[in-house]
Amino acid sequence: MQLKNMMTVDGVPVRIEGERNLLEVISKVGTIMPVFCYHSYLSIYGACRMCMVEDDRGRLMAACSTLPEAGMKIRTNTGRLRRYRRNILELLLAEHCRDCTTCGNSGKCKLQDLAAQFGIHDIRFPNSRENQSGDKSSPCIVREPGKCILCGDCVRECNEVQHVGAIDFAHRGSRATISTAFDIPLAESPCVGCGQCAVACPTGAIIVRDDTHRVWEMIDDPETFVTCEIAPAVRVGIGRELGLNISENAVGLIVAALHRMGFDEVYDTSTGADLTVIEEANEFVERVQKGEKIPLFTSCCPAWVQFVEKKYPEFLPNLSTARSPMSMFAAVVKEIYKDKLPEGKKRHYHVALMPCTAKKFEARRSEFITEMGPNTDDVITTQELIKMIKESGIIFRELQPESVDMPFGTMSGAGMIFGVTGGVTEAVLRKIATDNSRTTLAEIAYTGVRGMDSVKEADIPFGDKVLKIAVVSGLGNAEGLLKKIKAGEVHYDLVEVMACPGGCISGAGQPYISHRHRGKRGEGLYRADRISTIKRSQDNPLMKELYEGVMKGKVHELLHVNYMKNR
Amino acid sequence: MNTGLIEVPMGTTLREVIFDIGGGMRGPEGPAPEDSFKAVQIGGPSGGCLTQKELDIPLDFDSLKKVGAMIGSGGLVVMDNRTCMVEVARFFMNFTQNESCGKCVPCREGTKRMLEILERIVAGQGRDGDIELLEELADTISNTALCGLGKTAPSPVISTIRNFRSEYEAHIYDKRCPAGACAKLRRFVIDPEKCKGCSKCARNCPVNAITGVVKKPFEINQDKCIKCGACKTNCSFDAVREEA
Repeated sequence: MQLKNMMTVDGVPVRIEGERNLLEVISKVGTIMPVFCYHSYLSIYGACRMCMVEDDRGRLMAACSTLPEAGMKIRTNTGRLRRYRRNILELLLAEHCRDCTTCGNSGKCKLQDLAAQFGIHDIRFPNSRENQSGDKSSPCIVREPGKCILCGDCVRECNEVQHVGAIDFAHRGSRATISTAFDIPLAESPCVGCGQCAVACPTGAIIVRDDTHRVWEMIDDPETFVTCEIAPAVRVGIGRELGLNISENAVGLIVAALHRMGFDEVYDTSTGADLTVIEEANEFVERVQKGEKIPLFTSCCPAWVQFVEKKYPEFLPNLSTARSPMSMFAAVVKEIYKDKLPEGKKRHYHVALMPCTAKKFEARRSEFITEMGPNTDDVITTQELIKMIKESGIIFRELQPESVDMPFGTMSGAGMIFGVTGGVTEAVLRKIATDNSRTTLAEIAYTGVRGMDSVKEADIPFGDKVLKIAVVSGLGNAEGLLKKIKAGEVHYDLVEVMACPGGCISGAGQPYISHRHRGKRGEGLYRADRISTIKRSQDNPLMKELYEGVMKGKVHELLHVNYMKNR
Repeated sequence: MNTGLIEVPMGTTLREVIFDIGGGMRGPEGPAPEDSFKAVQIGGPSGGCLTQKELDIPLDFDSLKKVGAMIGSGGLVVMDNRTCMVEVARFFMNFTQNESCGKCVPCREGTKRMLEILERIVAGQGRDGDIELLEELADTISNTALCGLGKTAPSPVISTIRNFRSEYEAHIYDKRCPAGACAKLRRFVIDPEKCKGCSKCARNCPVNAITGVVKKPFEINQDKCIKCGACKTNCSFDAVREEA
């Protein structure tokens, strides 16, 4: 008897419930298929051939690209399939650089994992791949074609999700490679440094640039005063790899670890975010009242800024001139210590701990370099920070939490939620809201700005107007919105854009997290906001102190930027 | 003898096409005898090689499929016993490997490795286990490749191994090419009966592989020999013989 919409997987009956392919059905019986080129959110490519399954007539099919049909009887793990999978792995490994111990992706590599899983110990073919030099031109990511298995995940990520189109396949057959157009260096390509290709890459062919050695050097130098700031998303991204729960807020432990590693002072980028909120909210109100340069686009995401510069320069005037929290904060920190470094210190070195690869680029932008050098001397991603903590031998989860250092000891919850899509908008709305009651704050939270949806909209009453607000994450979604705005199909007053899907919490500098769990990191930030005493940026007492103290008369110089200047 | 384009009804046998219509093979001097027929490659680069015993099967889709070949392009390449079947497999694998688009792993990497193995076999560098490795790769590629090119790319190898396994073995284990076609496996020997010990061959050998005492038979050191054939062309007494 054949039941409607039923099929069997390894003898287990399963109901077909609109799954797009056999892989999704197979996952329902608790079997994980080996795959290199399949990501549920990308188009189906079907090239690695690892997910082949066998039906009751001995026919083989790739599970990723076969539609489930009622009555199908498939087996996922027969002797034949195991043999083929081992051969495919062996063929891939034969062409792959096998210097695992020195690879930046060791331990996180899918090829390494599967080779171990399938027990590939002997490679019968010589590595005949021509030596391809890596591309280290980008300040954000490093490409090593010798480690590429041509699964195309990066290409589809760059084109389908981010609409950047910096890389694609070149050549064919055994000479096929992933390349920029005309093989120009990545730094000169349309690449915006978002690093999502590195997130998708199953091997070490695209990895986040490692700048930790410079930071260690500075820490080791007794004459250098080393300060650092921790971005909001880092605190909820770091935990799982260091023995904490997923999305656990680990800011206290990070501060403790950094102190122990030898950083002189540790601050919180959320304080910088408070500055950004105040400046951006003022700018927003001013533009709304004047009716100029609307919509206002947020500009705290460096990959988004580059995307506008490279693909939609006509929207540059719409970008907020308020610097990103990192760049504002770094400028203020450098300004404070300009003439009064602690005794015995000759240089000031400021490091930003970021969930982001593009921040490495932002730190090097000429706009943020003064005669004293760059405001942010180095950007270290969460992944690099984890490496540094492990290198120090610190048992992270056993540390006693510590608080950030003065003079930047306070920050608001609004500054902390910057790390999740919708956070900047919510913070700005809190700033422009007329009253400070709990109900108002709750109302803002439920306008629709929260959640992992890629495009969110909200209508906010403001004076006699209703402000239309859009919150977008993922550059592909942002481009869709830009096109509609350009065509006049939609109107918004404020558009928040984060290049990475879900916001900074899923930045490429963070340890890998599945799409399903991204929301958890966001919840972690909202939890931190809930328990913070100060909810609104303007209520942070430090702000008044800064505006009337060190930043007096220098607000524009320290907190604003004109991306039009260099064009 | 008669090469060209012909049109025959389905069901015509290979024998009729090759010997009646085609007039048999072309030998070095005129038509070659019918028993010098060795194989026919059918269906283009993805097809298979058939032998004497399959000459009487009718040309249609099902019968050809049964013997591991296909009509494919409809092209027939008829070979007599001077053709090396390992070299034929290498030739076609070279073609399909070149045509691979490079998308799926089995075809991109697998055909490259099969070609690599075939190249070393015809160069006299074949190793014990190479035939089995070829069979294993062929099985993986034909079952897992993404498109028809990859799925059929191993066909010439599979059919030549099935029908001419001994030729593969001769290349690998005896380092000799039974058809005498593989240049790197040629073997020159001096017939001591005919050699007058004039030393002309030794003087012409570019790698000094020939040694001997004048007026006594000379000898070729097979390890040094690069199979150029200079000794044979220069011998005035026809004493240098090429062995298969």
